[in-house]
Amino acid sequence: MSEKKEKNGLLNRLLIENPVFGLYLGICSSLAITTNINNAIGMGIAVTVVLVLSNILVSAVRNLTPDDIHIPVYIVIIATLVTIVGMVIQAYTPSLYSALGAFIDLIVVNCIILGRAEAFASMNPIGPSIADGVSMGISYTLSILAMSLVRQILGTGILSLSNPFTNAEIFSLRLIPEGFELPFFKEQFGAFITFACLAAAVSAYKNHVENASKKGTK
Amino acid sequence: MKNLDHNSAQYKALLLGILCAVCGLLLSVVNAVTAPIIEANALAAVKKSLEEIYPGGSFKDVTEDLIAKDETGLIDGIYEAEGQGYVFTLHGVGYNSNGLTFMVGFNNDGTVSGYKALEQQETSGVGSRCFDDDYSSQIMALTSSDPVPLLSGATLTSTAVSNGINAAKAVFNDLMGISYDPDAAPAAPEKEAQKPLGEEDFSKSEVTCEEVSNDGTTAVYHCSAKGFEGINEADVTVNVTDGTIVSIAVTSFGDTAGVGDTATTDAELARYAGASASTVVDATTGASFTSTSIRAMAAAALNVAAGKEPVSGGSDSGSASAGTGLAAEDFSANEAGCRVWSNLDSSAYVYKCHAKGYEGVNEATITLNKDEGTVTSVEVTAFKDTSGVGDKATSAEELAKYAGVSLDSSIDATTGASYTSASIRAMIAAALNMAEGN
Repeated sequence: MSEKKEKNGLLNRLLIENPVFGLYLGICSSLAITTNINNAIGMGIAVTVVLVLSNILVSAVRNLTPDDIHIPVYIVIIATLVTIVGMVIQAYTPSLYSALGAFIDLIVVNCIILGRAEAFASMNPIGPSIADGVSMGISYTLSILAMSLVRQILGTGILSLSNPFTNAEIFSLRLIPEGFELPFFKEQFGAFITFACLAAAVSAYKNHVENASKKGTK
Repeated sequence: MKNLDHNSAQYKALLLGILCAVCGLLLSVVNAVTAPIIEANALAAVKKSLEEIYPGGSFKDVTEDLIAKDETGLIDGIYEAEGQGYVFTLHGVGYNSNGLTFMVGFNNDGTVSGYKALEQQETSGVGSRCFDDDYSSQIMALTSSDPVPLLSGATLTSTAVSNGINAAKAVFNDLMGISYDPDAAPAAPEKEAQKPLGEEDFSKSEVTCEEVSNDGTTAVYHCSAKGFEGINEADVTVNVTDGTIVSIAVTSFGDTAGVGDTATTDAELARYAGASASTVVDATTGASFTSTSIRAMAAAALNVAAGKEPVSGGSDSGSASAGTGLAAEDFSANEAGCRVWSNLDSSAYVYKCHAKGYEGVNEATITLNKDEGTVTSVEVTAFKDTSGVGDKATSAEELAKYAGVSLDSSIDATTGASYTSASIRAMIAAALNMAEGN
């Protein structure tokens, strides 16, 4: 880690090492559930919780786990956590459960979680693993939040948020007059286009930073 | 643990075993906490529907306790409205293959307390009638011991509904100790009193008939009429003298296979034999639309034969009904043509001819006696029509009919193969005309 990177640590973690737009991990769910910010926040929290807990547990058992069975061990841990999170979501926020549907169970195969378990938690103590889980979880949440902001506003013209526990609306704001929204942003290709544009922007920033640091070293 | 080698198989098995046990325990604890809440949530989702039957009732999901009594697998959920009765949510498949769901409730005294569609995409105005007020009020008038009436014209949907209600009845009656006859026949489906063929209104069928042949006693009409989703075609043979139907042969079936075709079986079609305009021919149950199209064609053919309606839409001119034979018939659509193959012997001129049939161009070798102007034999050399349909007109027997035919003869079309037989007659006419130097 260069000095400069340390300085910009948070921004870099959020953008360049962003799991979705920087590392292209966990794209499947981020394309599917980003139709409104409610889903994005719910999914983001669910993934973050699973990610932090799995990082803690994987880090805790890292010295007990022989190399050749580490994948089954991690998968059992992650699947258990996801099932628990799924049951809790179904019990306390049924509307979120029906909106996210199968994608809650599919957190198990979200590459971010297994990826961080492999790449970070299995080699680091619990403390840094928690920090890694939190920062990765937050940047995943921010990524899908960014996507769902674009898609919800362009697709429905309304930005709204509701309380998943009671289904009561917290706020609802019409930003685009009725008739001028672009409904295709609610569809799959809207998701792909949004993803491509945001990923391109992150990529451009990444190139910019790299070029700047090259110039700096010259 | 520490004295076990981390790479030994025992250690790995032990580690995975402990891990799974711990995870299993965790899961069962969380499940024990969340399962009742999830169940309450599920009940809350149907509660709104249940309250339409029992407003303000207190409901309990008894599906798990009672579902084993259901032998049909049609029951999705069973809910007890405390002190009032039971509500069953049911599914079935009517006409739309996506299926339908509905619910039916029984009061504790056995009367039907409610009946309502939950989700259905049956054809609007057809199957959907099973959920309109008329039919609902019929269901509401029932008790758990009554058979469920079917709805004519919406047989598939009402059968699905009735199967579901029967399944619910079986469970409910078993539960309440009500004895009933599960096999009792439903009250006759409510039908509009069926009118004789001649009086029924077939305007929706948009039927057209075209005269294929008419020898003064028997006439064959090629008719088409709208069925349920397509056009059905049939050759209707009518006895012109007494105005009755001799036979109906369906030549093209445009409706739902497996549904409408129950109206086109030989046995069903045989019911039309001998029918006149004053005969009542019942619709075929389960295939009302197709059978209506056939009845419409039968009625139209009878009308045409009786001279009540002009022959519509056909290439045949009115002269054909005058019965003046091949020379008068209009074969222009067949685009028949012949070339001379042998004209050495005037008693055995040979022509190679071709003419359009139903979907292709058929070819035949026709031998004539030029002196007498009659056909000696017809041999089909190329058959391009529908095999199994058009080839009825090309059998040796059928072709033998043409021996001795002259331009003045009128020849019956082959029933069920009118297009092919028209092409053969067109070729014969062309050959005869050529021999006469026309």
